[in-house]
Amino acid sequence: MREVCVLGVGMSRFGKFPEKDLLELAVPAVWEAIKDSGVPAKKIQVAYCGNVMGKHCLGQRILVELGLTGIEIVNVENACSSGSTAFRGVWALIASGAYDIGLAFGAEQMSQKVEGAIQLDQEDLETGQGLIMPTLYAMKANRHMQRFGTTREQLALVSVKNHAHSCHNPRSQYQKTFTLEQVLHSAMIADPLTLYQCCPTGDGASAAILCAKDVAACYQSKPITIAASVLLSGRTNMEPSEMASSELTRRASQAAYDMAGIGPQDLDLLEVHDAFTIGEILHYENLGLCPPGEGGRLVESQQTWIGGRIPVNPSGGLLSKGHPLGATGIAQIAEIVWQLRGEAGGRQVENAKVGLAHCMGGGVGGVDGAACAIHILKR
Amino acid sequence: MDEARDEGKTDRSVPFRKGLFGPAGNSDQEPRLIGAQCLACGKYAFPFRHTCIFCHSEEVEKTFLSRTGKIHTFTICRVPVPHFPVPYAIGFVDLPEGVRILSQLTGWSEKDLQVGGEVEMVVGKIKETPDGQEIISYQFRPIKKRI
Repeated sequence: MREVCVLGVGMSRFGKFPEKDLLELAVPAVWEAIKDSGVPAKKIQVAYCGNVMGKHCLGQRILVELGLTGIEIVNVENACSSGSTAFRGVWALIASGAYDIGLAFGAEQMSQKVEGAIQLDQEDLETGQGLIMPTLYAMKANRHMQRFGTTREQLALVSVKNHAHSCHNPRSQYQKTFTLEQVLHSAMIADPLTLYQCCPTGDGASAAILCAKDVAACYQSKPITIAASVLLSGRTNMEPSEMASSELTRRASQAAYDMAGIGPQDLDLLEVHDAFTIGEILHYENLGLCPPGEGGRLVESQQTWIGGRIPVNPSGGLLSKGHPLGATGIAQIAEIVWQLRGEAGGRQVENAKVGLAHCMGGGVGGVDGAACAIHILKR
Repeated sequence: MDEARDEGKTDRSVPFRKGLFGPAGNSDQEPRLIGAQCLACGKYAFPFRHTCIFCHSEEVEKTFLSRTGKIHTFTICRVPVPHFPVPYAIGFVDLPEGVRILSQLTGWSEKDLQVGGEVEMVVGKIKETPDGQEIISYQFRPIKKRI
């Protein structure tokens, strides 16, 4: 497998834009990535499009608008990890030598369709009997609180932190601070998770241009290297594991660390899947930033704020930046790229050299997480 | 055996899915979940499938699972979700066979629900379709301790 780099990234402002359709959201983000890369559009040989709720053949429809047709185009869906899956798909084809240059993008238009919690398949054995994503994560929170003494305040601090970070992110859906009291006293969704502990729904798009490292020099002098790409699915609930942990994230991150030849202590920053505050706390532990059970105390220690020992979600995370499903995975990667290049403005993590993007999609039909994608990038 | 009646089906109610539960012996016995036991590797699973999901053997038998278990974790959903009553309680229940079931919880009050709490299986209405049809399924309720 040969080394692959990210040459360019693009991302729309995330938010609620019911007047904008998928094409209006996606086209500018894709052009931004292409221009950022220095690669002429005609050189793109393959494109993967991540999307969950939209139309058939969405990738082709978007690329027709750009005048990019005739190439290999694949549309992928892996719930919240759709964009990461698109990125991995392009990575794999370039790493294996099939192509030199590819485009990965993701987009979602939710505000026209969704109000409140996302409704899930009514025939699935779990979601058809009342499981919605907030209840799944609320159950993980209750288990974590019972086993490790994690408090409601510690959960809420994740939201406080990520909202504060997003004040420096002009593309973030929310760009204002929330106090601990505001988070704790917002409407209860599923005990113990309150409204501001659940990410918003919204609209947006993101894109990246990937290129084989040995070709990248034609276009850029400082490409960002993809040191690891891992995509794995969860195991069945019939092998009951501790729900105050994520077997899937632990397994996927270990594979990623092995691939990159590093450990969690080598990371300068992370973007992790904080669709719900408990998610971030769990993933501190599952990604090896702290021992099992210590995630609540880690966020309380302020070490995961920008300026702390190991900043997590400097972009604002899903909680504040937003979570248009198909767009999230590549938006996380875009943030890592900007940070590694020193282009993150007021939210810059000092001297960032190695970053990790973690995305966790869905929980359906009896598995612990449908798709966990981990990417490690370095400059 | 009157399958429809055993599954609680009436004119206005239907089971969530066929074959998930039934009476263990005589039709007046309490219903139990119908799971799978693999004769090759010995593991249990729910719901029943003809091939073992662990070792892929086809030597799988239908078996009735235990009626009681423990709550691994739970929550109370406080927001309106189409078809479901609000609030409703939902949890992961661990049965002694090593099987974990996601199920609505019934007959609860907030103080009854605890991680590790013992629960027993019942059958009841879990949701309603827009045209008023009741959907019934397995549920678990806290076992009240007799003093």
